[in-house]
Amino acid sequence: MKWMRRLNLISLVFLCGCAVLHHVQVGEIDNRKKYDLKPIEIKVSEMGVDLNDVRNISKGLMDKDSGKKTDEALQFLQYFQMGPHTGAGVYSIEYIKDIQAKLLSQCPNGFLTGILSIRETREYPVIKGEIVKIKAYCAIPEGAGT
Amino acid sequence: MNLKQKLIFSLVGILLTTSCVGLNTVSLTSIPAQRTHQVRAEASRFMFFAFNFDNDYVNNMVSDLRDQCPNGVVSGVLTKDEAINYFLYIFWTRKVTATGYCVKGKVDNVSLR
Repeated sequence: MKWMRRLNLISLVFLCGCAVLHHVQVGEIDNRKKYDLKPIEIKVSEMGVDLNDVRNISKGLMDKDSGKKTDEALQFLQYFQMGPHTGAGVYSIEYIKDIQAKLLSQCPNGFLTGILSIRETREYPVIKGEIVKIKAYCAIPEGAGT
Repeated sequence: MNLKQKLIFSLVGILLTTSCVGLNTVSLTSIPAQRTHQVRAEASRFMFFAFNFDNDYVNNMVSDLRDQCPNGVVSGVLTKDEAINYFLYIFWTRKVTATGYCVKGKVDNVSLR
């Protein structure tokens, strides 16, 4: 099974920087001429840790006994991370808390339209970038200014 | 037809006919009463294994819909995100489709604000 370990390690290296799309949603779009549309974008992210990657790496790098013990320990840890979720587990969900305030701060005199919400993961070995990205238009009534 | 030919025929058949589609997410916004003018935007990316280094292909969907509805409101937007697997996830496509209705004229009843 040595080749399997090597394959795991090689795939981890090759999949560096891969982007995984979990969810995308397009909202309603007000394209009437009486509004000036200004594109805005915000992105928030948090570091996720993929214990499966840690298990694969430890299997590849450690000897059989140590690898097995580490695998068991990590498997035990994973029991605390069960449940439906997208991407790897993060240790704080606070990063999306102020997303609405951040959007509104970029559009104080108008309303938001054409909201494109993207939930994605940027994959690196072990560490994952769990990202929420919102692209939208700030619709400002003509003559109202910014 | 000998055994070798049968094997080749089977393999080619498997390669050409096996594919399946998985629906990842779907979302819908409020649907207007005026549903005569449908608009549609689609973004997709073909992938070899899981090699995908950004998701920028979805970025232009809103502007595509806007272009199809000048001076109107796009409402009732159904967004569908699907994965089309051609063969064992070696070759596959991620496709995002957004369809909606372009409402022109007085649209105060559309829930925008």
